[in-house]
Amino acid sequence: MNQIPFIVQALFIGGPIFCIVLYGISIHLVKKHHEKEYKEGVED
Amino acid sequence: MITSSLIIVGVFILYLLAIFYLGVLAGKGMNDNEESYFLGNRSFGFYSSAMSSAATDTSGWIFIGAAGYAYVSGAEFMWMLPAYAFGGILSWLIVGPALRRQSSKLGARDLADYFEKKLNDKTHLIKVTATCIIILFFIPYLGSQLTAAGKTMNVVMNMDYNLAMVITAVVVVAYCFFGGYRAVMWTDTFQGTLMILILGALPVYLIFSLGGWGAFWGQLLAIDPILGTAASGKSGALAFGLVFGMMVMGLGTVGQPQNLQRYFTTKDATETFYKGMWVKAAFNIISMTGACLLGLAARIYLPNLTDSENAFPALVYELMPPVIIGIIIAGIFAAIQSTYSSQLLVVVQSIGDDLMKVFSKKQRSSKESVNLSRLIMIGMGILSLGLALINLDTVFKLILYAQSVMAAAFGPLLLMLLFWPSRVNKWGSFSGMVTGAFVTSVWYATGMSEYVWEIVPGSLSAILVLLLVTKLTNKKELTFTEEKKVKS
Repeated sequence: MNQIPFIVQALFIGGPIFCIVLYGISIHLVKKHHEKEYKEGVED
Repeated sequence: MITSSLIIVGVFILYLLAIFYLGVLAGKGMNDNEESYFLGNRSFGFYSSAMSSAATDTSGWIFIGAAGYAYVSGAEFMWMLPAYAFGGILSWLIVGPALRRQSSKLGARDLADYFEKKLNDKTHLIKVTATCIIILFFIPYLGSQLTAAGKTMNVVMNMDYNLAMVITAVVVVAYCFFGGYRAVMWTDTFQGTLMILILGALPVYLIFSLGGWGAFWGQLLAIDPILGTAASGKSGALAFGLVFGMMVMGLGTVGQPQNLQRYFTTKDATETFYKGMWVKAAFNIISMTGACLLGLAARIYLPNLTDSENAFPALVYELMPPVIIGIIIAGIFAAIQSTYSSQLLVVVQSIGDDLMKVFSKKQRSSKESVNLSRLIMIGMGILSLGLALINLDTVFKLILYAQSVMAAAFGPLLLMLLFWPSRVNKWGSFSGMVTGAFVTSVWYATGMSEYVWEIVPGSLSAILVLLLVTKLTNKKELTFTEEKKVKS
């Protein structure tokens, strides 16, 4: 494993983890935003 | 050898029959009206909506182009992963729920219809312009999907190039004819699942066969150390430019009509999108990482390929037993078919549901309109097949930047109409759309795309012109639809 360059590990292991966190945070924020919109009765 | 070929062909034929049966089955639950034929009664759940959207977005590129890119450039390809994550989030989570909610209230059935109703454009200028851009760029695009199918089948099964294109067109037109949008969704969902199984399982098997993750990279770096760098060995400004260019690519997903159509048809504007995002996330991570690893594995097994785009088909043929080859060929075919069928339905809807209603004075019942659309579908199938068989170079040059044109012409306008409608009017929208399409085309044609991807100047100029023209034209014409007054 030591022979594998750091950037390879970062892209192949860190990349998917970063994306999962990004998706999770985005879903959470959008959900909260929608709930707030519905409570306030915002129209398009 | 003959037995192997028979098994491969047999599995492939089974797949085609299964897809056709699924399409026909989808049509059985459908009513003969436009809402049902083009939108499936807006009843699709999170898995089918997200999987279908992901499969349509990816197309045969994931097996051919993406694996070929990784074969040549190595780990650098993985920048696509965050790029498509950003694009997917913007498209699916931000644009999707808003478009679903607003289109439902307006009673809009597709993108051009949404533009017209949102702008309250009685002259049909916006709808006709948007529809013409879609038709102009999508018909050659349909032809190109058939060409991709022909080339793939020719390489992996030694099937006659023209025969493969005819089979693809006939199967897809047949199931779309019977099942309309529902057939597209059902088959896309099946095809997307098949793609993800292949792209998930095959790289894992190959890496274990090569001795594990460390041995895999050890062999790759021995072939070419550049494969293990972040930007093909480039550094400084060149590396930054390369990575930045790849990150922008994900934004091109906003504005693609075949994909946006999924947002009109989900069963709600909330849970379907939240849960569906995880399906899209899994698809994105597995497909991008899988395609990259397959390209790299091909570099180890077959280091001297002359055409890198053959990396994946050649690898499969080299290593796999006939039954698996048949399934994998079906997966490649699935990727191409899912895009072809979605684009076909967008074109048919643009002509049958949008243009015909603007230009034809004849009043048709809902059933008559559906039947007319079916005839148009056969016509479009024949036309796209004809284009693919003639293989006109000038026509196919259009598709090289078709996605960028769609993104620049429709993306900025869609975002403005969804979130800042008071800043847009009819003339601004018209000018923005035309400018986006024009600047993108000229940028590409003059070779400037080598320095900056055409979507960037196209989108920027579209948004600038859109805002400027809206400001310059009569304020009283700011007529975005007051949706409350429109019956949903």
